[in-house]
Amino acid sequence: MWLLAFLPDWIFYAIFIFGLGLFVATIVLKFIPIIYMKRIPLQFASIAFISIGAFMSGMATNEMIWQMRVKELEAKVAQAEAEAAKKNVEIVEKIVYKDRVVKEKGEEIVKYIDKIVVEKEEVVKFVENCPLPKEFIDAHNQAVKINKK
Amino acid sequence: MKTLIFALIIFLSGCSVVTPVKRNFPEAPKTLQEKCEELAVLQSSSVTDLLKVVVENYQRHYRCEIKVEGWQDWYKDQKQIFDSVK
Repeated sequence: MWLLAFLPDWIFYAIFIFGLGLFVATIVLKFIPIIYMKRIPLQFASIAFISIGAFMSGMATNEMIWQMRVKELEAKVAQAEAEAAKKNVEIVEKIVYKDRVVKEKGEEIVKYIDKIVVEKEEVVKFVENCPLPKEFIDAHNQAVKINKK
Repeated sequence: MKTLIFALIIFLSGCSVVTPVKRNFPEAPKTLQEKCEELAVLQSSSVTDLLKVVVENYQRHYRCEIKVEGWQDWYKDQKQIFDSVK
């Protein structure tokens, strides 16, 4: 409630204690004529002070408990965000490593191909004498584009 | 009547308080957000080139697979972290 943001908490406790004091005063000090004469309106007023004071004190306490929970949750969220960032770094490192391994292994295989097509005689002969038919190339390229619209 | 409306406004103003704890959606790493490479097409009739293109395509497939696994790990980890905050 916005009142809680503007007024200090002690005001609500003060209103409650004032109301309580006023109510007790109307009973204890009834031998004083002016108090005796005005005791009914004073008692109504004191009950109003007690009610407002109790209500607002309860709200202030409740607000304080919620604020504590909010702070606790904020700390947990900050910790979770830090942990999430740390996990992101771990995931990226893992991806980069695996990606590099795949690249290196692929390059090794390509080097091996380059080597055998010049070194192994039967392979050299096969490569020179057996060009791929156009239909094979088209079939391969169609397979590459299977997922294209 | 005016007093009643005033009292209602004062008491209902307590309902307008917004939740103060804001949680941000976790940002996925840039590496994961990159698209997978398209497969390479064959442009010559040489068997050597065919082999190289096949190797290249396998590489691209595995690199894409690594990213998908990365997304799965990312989701699993982030969900676990998200659920741990209560």
